[in-house]
This record gives sequence, structure tokens and C-alpha cells, in this order.
Amino acid sequence: MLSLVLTSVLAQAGDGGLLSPDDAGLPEEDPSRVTVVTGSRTERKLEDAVVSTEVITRAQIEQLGVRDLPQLLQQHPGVEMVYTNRGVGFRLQGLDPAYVLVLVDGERVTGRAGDFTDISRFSLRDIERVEIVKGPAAALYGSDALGGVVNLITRRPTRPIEGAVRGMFGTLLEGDVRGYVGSKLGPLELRAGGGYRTRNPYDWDPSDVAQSGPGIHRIDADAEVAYAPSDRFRAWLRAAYVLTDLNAIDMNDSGAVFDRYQRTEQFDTWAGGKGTMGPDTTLTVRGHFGLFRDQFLVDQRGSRALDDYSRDLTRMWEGFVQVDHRLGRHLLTAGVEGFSELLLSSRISPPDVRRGRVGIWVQDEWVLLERGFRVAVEPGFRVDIDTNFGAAPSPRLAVKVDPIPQVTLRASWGLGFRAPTFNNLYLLFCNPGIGYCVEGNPKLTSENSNSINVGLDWRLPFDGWMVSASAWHTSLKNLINVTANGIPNPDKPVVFTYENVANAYTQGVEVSGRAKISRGTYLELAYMGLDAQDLTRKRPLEGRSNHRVNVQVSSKYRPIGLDGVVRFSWNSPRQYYAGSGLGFANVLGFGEERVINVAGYVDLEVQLTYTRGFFKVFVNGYNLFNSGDKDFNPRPPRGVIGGVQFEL
Amino acid sequence: MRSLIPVLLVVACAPDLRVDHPFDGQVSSGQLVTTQVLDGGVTLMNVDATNKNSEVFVDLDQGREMKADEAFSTNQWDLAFKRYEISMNGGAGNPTGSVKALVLDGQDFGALTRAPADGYAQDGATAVLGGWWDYDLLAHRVLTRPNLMYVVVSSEGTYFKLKMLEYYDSSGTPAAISLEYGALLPP
Repeated sequence: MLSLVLTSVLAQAGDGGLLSPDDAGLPEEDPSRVTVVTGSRTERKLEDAVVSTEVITRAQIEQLGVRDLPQLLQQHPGVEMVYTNRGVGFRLQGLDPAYVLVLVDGERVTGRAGDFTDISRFSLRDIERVEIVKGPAAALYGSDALGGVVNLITRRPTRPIEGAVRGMFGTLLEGDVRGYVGSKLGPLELRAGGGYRTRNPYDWDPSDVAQSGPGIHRIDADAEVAYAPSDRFRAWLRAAYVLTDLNAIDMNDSGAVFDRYQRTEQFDTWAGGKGTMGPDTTLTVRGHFGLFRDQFLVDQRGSRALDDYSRDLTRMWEGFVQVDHRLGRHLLTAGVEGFSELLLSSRISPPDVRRGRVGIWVQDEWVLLERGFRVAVEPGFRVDIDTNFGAAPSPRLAVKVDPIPQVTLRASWGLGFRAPTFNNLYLLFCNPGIGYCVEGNPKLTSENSNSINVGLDWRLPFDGWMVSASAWHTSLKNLINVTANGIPNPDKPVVFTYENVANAYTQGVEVSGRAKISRGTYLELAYMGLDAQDLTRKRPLEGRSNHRVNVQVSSKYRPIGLDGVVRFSWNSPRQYYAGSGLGFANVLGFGEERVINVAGYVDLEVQLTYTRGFFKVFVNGYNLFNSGDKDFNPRPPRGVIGGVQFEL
Repeated sequence: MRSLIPVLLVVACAPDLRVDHPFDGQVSSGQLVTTQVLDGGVTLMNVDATNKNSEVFVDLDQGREMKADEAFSTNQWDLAFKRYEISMNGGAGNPTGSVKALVLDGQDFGALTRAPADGYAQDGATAVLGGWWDYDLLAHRVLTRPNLMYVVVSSEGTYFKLKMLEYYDSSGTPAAISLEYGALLPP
């Protein structure tokens, strides 16, 4: 997986002639041709990107054999997965999933699992590449991008006929079937795909009937048609639908047993066009309509007293216009985007709420020196006007320096913000079984961050060796925190609400290196050191490992078509706080809290792939040390999954 | 806005979860109080006090529930249960009632056979039987206080010892209260 992080380094090695594509472990792609879009909102070669961007390409996804986005990112350096009852999120640079923005082709997606986007609902079937921009460089994306942005870029057909079918089966009766067809006929591009996935629930504590992770049934389909008569113009229309059913057994502290079901549906349609107007100007116009329907049902066994059912419907309209204009050594970008969001829910008051936001940004990518000692700067400024809390500015400055061809230095600074969610603002929910209420606070304002990031990529003068290092500091203010009010009684012991009361920071370093052991065999190492402190409570932020080590060995033996990857990671112990607030362990203003020290854990994954012609046969052993527990790391237990793939 | 909602719901394709997974379990049949006679003249009583909006009236003398109409017309009820709250037919609970009670701390329930002579009171600003529970804020669970028991003088003048046993039934449902009580000799 570390090779994914180092793709940026590899890409820059491309024109320096240090590494061949085969050496780089990317047999199907020339790394110097890898393009990225996330950092600057304009497509450009990875080696030219002023903002550091990590890329996971389609070839790497195939090589790793992963079945979904959580497994893909599970051992990615600097990424920490967070498993919850209602979905999977991840931390970037020590910031919680709520502070990481997930995009599809640069656009927001509808619907959240609590405060964050459940990344397990995205199929990898139609993903061409995953781009990750960490820290302040993502400030120009507006709300939620404090920790960074993960942008899922969908694939485009390039041949008259192409397609793939993949089937997998494994532990927990996991089954996954997916297919894809595409065609590029003259100016017309057609693509369609679909998939089905199923998996049984799992349990880390067999001493009771409660389960730790839900069973899954998921159906997804998408289709796209595009018209691209030349490189200067492309118009597209795309639609996607995902249906996910989750089921598990829960138990509360009074011994009540519940069958829990969740059903989410996500429907999105996108339309857009991009055209070149004259030699130096490009105009992009996009629109997006999204619906997210979320049903939640708990059925108490043996009684009707605690049965509960709720449903939410979120609707989003989004519009986007961007103009890029090249002027000498400047690439000027200006854009405006806005969205309108409506939530209908039985758990908010009033039951239908809406809000809108308009963001305007400008950016100048300015190449100061383009030969020898190369220098580029990218100042940018964005301001969002929100119907709830007014204006939120988010400026950004990024610098890239290549003092010699083998070395690239990058630095960025930015202010970010996160708008309160609908739940933060309007939630009105009482849990009759356990006895607490949560009330939103319509007076909430945005959370703010101030971040700086510096990084170094050094391509060593040995074939296949390279080192990357980066450091960051993010200061967080005005954080929305759960607070407690009310006089305890068994029916309503605590009224939880939200207030902008907390401050925190995260800072750390990431170091990674890659060494070529022999032809086609690489050893990769990475380390992340993290210091994340809650300044309000004067203690470490909950649940973070201060140290994380990643090791990967990948090898290809082409004469017999064998490909193997071993990924290992170690995460240091973590600290949690048990308080009076159930899931709200970090409640301010109520009750005693106690510290729970949770042991570190290791992760080992092995992938073997045999390729012969159009066919691939693969087997994947994941979580081989069986790391996990029901409370703090309820990830899927040790398992094996294998399958076949046929690709045209 | 309202006209938009049906349109949005039509777009959603999957059926309602309540259709695929109908609630099971028994709806309350109307019998809110059940009793079981135990050894030693002690009766185990289960009270379904889950309704947040109405009280369950209990006549200890007859060991049964009194529906509201009967309770108010006869004034023979002794205790009323609503969720975790227990009020009596006397004092603030009902000024026309004669029920009164005494709190005993640290006494053995089985060993008590004769009622204390004095110390009885009726509900005031706080209910005499209001302190039977303790709330575990970490576990979010109502616990009974095992050291406490009560002596209740019923509407018919009978002395009963009474001890709260549980706030939850075997399904984990809160406000499904169980208690035990037995008659005492008068002081």
C-alpha cells in the first residue's frame, strides 16, 4: 500500500528517468502520465501539482485485490479507519471522519452516517483512481475539508468495447459479484456497471447475543453517457443508485435485546460539460442532484415497548461553474458553487429543514521559475455564505520547490471550516430504552481550523529507492461538542445538546521509504507519529494511536503470472474515555469520566494473484492476526476471500 | 414543499423496513398488574408502568389493579405507578386518601413481621416512596436500593411491608416494575 502513497514520487521520477513503469510496480500505467485533479481543481500531471496529492490508481486497486474502499484504505499510511454501527469512516492527520470530505468526481455526495460519509457504500468497480489530499491544501473545497479530501474519480471507457466481471466468496459467507461494460465509439462514451455484495454479521464477544458488526446486503448500479468529439469538449450525464441493508443484534444495559435493521438508498445524477474556449480558457459547468433515504428500525425481542422506527430523506441540489485561464506563467482559476439541501426526518424539529450555501473561490497557480531550480506558488481564497451561520472564509497558500530534479519540497497553509450538520442543528431524539435525549442547537456556528503542512520527496540515486517526509500542525477552534443539561431521572437522565465550546490541535510527522530488493520486488516502510490534544479538557483526543508503522512487500514473478502483496501495520495503544454519555463519551459538563487504555493492534494482509490472459484468480487473507474487539475496534475479524476475474 | 415529499418518496425504490421486518413481541393486553403468591405470605407483583401518560392504580388489600374509574370512585387504591414514580393515595397524591408509609433502611424483609408503631407519613413535595431507585449514569440503568423497604398502611388500614425488586422485565423493558409485599401484624 505504501506504493500508493509514493505514487507522487514515482510520477516525478518518470521524466527524470530513474524508474521505469515496470520498476514502479505499475505495469499498466506510465506514472508520468498519472493526472490528478483534487489539489488544484484542474486536471494536471501529478508531477506538476503544487499541492501534494496521493493517488491510488486502478492498477493498484487491482493489484491489492481489495473488495471495498475501507479495505483499500485500511493500511494506507496516515489513514486511520473508524468502524461504527452505521458505517465506516476514517481519520486523516488525526482528525475525525466528520472532518474529511469525500467527493465523487469532485462533487459532494448526499447522506451521512451520523456525522460522516460511510465510505463502505462506494463500490470500487467504477473507480479509476482515488486521490487523497491531506490537510490545509483542501481548504478550497469549503466545509468539511479540515482534515483533507478524498476524491473518487470514476473511470472512462477508452476502447470500442471493454468490460470486466469479478466474483468473490469468503469468510462470513461473504459474496461479491460485480460487472462493468464500457464503449468508446467515436465521440460517444457509454459505460454501465452493477454489483451485489453480501456478508453475515460478525461478533467479537460470543458471551452475549449482541453482534459487533452488521451483516450487509448491497446492490449498486450506475450508468454514464458522454459526448466527447474532441479533447476540447466533453459533456456527460451519469446516474447511480446504491441500496444497502445492514442488520445486527444489539443489547442494552438493561438486558433488552434488539434486532436492528438499517436500509439506505442513495440516488445521484450528475450532468456537466467542459469545453475549451480559445487557446487559454476552459469552462466547466456541472450539476448534481442527490437523494439519500435512510430507514432505521429496532425491534425489541419479546416486547413492543422499545420498538422504534425512523426515516430520513435528504435531498441535495448542487451547481458548479469554473473558469480556468492561462496567462503567461499564471493559471488563473475562478469558480462558484452552491447547493441546497433539504432534510425530512422524524427525529428533527421541525420535521423538514433546509439550508443553502454558496462558495466563491479564486486561485492563481503561478510558476515563478520553471527550469533548473523550479518554483511554483498557488495562492487561493474561498468564501462561503451559509444560510445558517453567514460567511466563512478559507484562504490557502501552497508552494512547490524543486531545487534539483531528485527533490521536491511542498508546503501549504490554509484556514478551513466545518458547518454544523443538520443533526447538530435540529436533532430531537429521545431513546426510551436507555433514557437519554439529544437536542440540536440551531444557534451553532461553524468549526474552524488553521493548518500548515510541509513535505519533502527525495528520489535517491539508487534504482527504486526513495524517501518522503512530511509534517503538519492543525489548530482547531470552536469545535462542536456534546454538552449535558437537565436533572437526571430514569426516563430522561441527561439532555444532550451541542455547543461550540472545544479547542484542540493535531500535529505529527509522516515518513515513508521504498526500496527495490530485486527486479519486481519492493520493500516499503512508513511511520506516522501523531500528537492530538484536546485543549479544553487538557488530555489527548480520544481513540488515536500516537504511533503507526506500515510495512509492505510486493513482488511480481511474470514468467508464471504470479503477483503477491503482503501488508502489515502496527498501531500503538489508544486512549478512550468512558463517561455518562454512551456514545457521547466526550460530554462536557456532566458526570465523571474514566480513562480506558486500549492495547495497540497489528494488521496483516496477504494477497496472491495469478494472471493468465484475460483471467485472474486471487485469494486474499485479511486481518490475519485477528485484531479487533467489540467496543473500540469492531472491524471484521480474520478471514479469507478468493475469487476470479475476467477482463476484456 | 409538502407537494414535493410524495415525489421524493416515489424516487426511493426499496420497500419500507416495517414491511420487511414487522415488529414482533406482544402488545400489552390490558392486564397491567399480575401477582404471584410466594412462600411466607409474600406476594410478588409485576406492574406494567410503561405508559408515560397514565398511572397504574394498585390496591394492595386485594392484590390487584384498579382501573382509573374504579380507583377514583371507590378511593380504595393504595399506590399509583407511572414509570419510575410511585405515589400514594394520601397527601399530595390524593388529599382525600388515608394511605401512609414509612421508609425502613437496612432491615431484613423476611424478618419483619410486625409494623413499627410510628414514623408514617403521606406524600408531600416529595413522595415517600420516591427514593427507591438509583441511577447508574455510566450504564444508564435504574437500580433498586436493596437496603430500602417500606411499610405501607393501606386504604383499609392494613399494614404491608413492601420492597422494590426490579425496574426491568426479562425482556429488558424499563418501567416493567416488580416488587414484593406482605401483610404485617399491626404495631
